[in-house]
Amino acid sequence: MKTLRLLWMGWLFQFKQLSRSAFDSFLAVLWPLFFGTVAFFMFQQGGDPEALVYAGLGAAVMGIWTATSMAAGTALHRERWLGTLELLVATPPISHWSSSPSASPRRRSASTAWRRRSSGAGWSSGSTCRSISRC
Amino acid sequence: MTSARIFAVGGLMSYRALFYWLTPMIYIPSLVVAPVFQILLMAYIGRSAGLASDEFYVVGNAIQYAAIPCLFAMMQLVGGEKFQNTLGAILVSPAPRLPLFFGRAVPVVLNGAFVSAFSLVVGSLILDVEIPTGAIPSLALVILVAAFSCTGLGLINAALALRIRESAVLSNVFFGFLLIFTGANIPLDDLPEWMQTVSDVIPFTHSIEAARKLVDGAPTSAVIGLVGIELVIGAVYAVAGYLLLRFFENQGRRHATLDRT
Repeated sequence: MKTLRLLWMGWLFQFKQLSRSAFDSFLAVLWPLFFGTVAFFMFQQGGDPEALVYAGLGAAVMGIWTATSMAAGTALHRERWLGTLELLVATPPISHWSSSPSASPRRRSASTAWRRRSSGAGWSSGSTCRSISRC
Repeated sequence: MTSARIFAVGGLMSYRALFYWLTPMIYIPSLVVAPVFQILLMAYIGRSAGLASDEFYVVGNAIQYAAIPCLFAMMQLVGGEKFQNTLGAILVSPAPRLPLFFGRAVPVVLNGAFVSAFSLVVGSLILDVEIPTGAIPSLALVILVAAFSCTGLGLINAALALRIRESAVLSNVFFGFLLIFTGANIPLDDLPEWMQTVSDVIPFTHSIEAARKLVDGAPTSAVIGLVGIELVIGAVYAVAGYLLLRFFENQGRRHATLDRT
């Protein structure tokens, strides 16, 4: 029961946190629309309605894939930048359970590392290196 | 002389500072591998749609991908300084602003051109697109002009980073719009009329068209007009970006909001 509660609260917290960031929420919706629009015009001119559906679905699936893989991949990194990783690993419960359900919307595109690093959110003036963190 | 020093040394230092975090581990996947995958993705979708040849997508996407280094590095011009708490120190200095900002733009243009040229070469090799040897110097010029033009837009992006926090998001939005509107993947004639009107006044549209003509074997003289238009577009964006930077800088000083974002 305790584990389930931890899982739920962790998910809720991660979701709230990510949904506050335009990088993680707004772009997650916008990027599939960009790809979908390109595919729409390409297939519209090709004159194959079935392929058009296929392209639309493809853009949506790309959105899901990028959103989940990126969010999951940077869950711990984000904690590190926020300076909360130490607290997380020092807690008695299995710490990774609280950060594992972080599959909220996020986009992974061509140069995510660049963008992630360039994104001001979360590590402005206060995000200095912490003891456990490798910056 | 001081201006020239600020232009050259300031630009070089700023660009080197960028590499304290833009290590090969980030640079290679983001700016070397990713554009090739974008080319392949679009080329295979294009084959499936039966819309255009591989050459169309290789040239279009290789040039359009210069938007990533140009937009994001220019955004870092302000965002990076802000992150390192050095923006205030720069903006209170008496250094003339023109060499200060434009000096930082020169390495960005060169890097954008490199990314674009590399993508074009690798994409052509993978998809077996033949580029006439005689067209290579002209293509290099077109790519350089394309990178310059987008860096002009990047300067506007940098100015907006003085006012907004999520400047990386804005760069992504610009990139997405360029993907649709420049004709990199969709022939311009197939776009709605209002989109064609927008295409005419944004970076890349004319350089992509020029590069496609060159690859098709057209002489340099046939694309001079397009290159000239692209240059003018880039210059207009650069001037607009510079004025916007000065405006937001003054606003930031007046309202003490430089560090608020």
